[in-house]
Amino acid sequence: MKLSKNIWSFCMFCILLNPSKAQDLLDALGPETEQNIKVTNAFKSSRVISSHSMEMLPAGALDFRILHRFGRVNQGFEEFFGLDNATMRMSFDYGITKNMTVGVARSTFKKELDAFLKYRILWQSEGAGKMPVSVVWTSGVIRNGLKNNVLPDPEVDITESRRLAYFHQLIIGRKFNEHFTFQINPILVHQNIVESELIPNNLLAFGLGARYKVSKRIAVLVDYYYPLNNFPRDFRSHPISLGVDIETGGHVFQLHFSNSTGMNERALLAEENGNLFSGEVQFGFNLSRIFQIVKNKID
Amino acid sequence: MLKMTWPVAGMVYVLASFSCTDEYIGTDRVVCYEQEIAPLIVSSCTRSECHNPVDLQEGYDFTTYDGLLTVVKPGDYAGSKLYKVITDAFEVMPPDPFERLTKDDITTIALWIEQGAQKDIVCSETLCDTLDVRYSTSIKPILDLYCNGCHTGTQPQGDISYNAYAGVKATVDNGTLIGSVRRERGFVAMPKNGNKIPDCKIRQIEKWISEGAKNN
Repeated sequence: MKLSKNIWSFCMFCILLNPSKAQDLLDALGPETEQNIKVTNAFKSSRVISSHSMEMLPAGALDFRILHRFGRVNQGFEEFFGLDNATMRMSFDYGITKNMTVGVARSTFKKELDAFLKYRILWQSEGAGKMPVSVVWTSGVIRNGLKNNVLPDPEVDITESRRLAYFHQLIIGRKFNEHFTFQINPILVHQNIVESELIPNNLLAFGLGARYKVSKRIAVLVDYYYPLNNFPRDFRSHPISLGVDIETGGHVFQLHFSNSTGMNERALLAEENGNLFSGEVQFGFNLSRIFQIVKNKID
Repeated sequence: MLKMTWPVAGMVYVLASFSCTDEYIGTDRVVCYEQEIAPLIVSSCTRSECHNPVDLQEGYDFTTYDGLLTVVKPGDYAGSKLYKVITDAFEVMPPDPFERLTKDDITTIALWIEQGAQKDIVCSETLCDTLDVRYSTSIKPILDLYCNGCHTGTQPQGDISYNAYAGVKATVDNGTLIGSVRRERGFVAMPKNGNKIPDCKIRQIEKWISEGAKNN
């Protein structure tokens, strides 16, 4: 897999360059120089809705997230507009440093276990040595945990590698003002095995995420992907989610509508999403609670 | 900050060293031009004012294999114009007011292109049961393949609408369904622009009508 190897080496390169080092030297020059102020709260949490956002966790913080998504709303009253069926993704993200977060999660959909590493390469800042955008890299692995029916063809052996999928994502975002934040987040999802020769193993998509803060506690969000090579190509089922963030002392409560069942990167892009135009959308809510595990951790 | 470089590098290495393979589950299905592609294309793309030898919309005649191959790159479905237009967001074919092709139809076409877009491959006769004939399992699939590209939607051709069973029953009662598919004198030969429906399938329709053309 040549492409992802190249991306890995690029990622390593960026890590080794370590731009924040030069910043420390500037800061050491003393009070005469203008202060460099990091831009914070571009998004309320480390996810837009399903996708990673340009935000990171503080060092030493544990973020316990529960993502819920119900069934399709167009199923009518008999299924209580989808509320009878829920899928869930529970995740624990931990900020090792202010620029690096790791996380593990479990989804009920296909019993998928996933793990990711997220690293901030550049941090948007104002003042001396200002930086117009934040650049964040995230990569992860997703494992299908079903006991049976992992693959649609029962004659194909289920090996460990056939359960796995990976993703690599670059996030470039900017908080334009107190109200508006916008990010682009291209993604590569690699599945070790796919259901037919028509489906590419490497799925590429161009993502967008945005937040508009309406009031102190409420913000609206959009999370969208334009898939470049999925099969069959159909704009009506591009993954899209619209949501509202409500901040209630200590945790963030997010209500949203989405046309995808999956809540990890593989499921979002590789699974069949609902057709927006025939009402195949789902209601969902996300909860996030941050615990400061290591107090005043310095990095 | 430098002290973090090594743990990061280590985790990157661990993640990257997982095996990374490119596999797919192959299919035994061989898509045949005569039996699957031709009826589907004729029914969806060659209706009047479209890509038939009379109207030659955009200069294309899709009633023949050679005509269809002008928009197909054998072995590369994603690069074929045919695949692009049937899946496009805005300039989609068949155009409004006709329905988009279904996912199954798109899969059939893409698989045929991927398998080399061949004309003369040996295809096993598909199962054709003339004993137990029902509307839902035998007749509806025939209509979907051969007729419904034109005879559904909001503006069905010839005002013959097969959107629902009632429309089909109407053409059974006035004799046009069986007359057209048998290509009898006095009826418009159907499917228009295409080959005659295989005899076995016509026998299924006959059997179903003789049993009262029930919606079963």
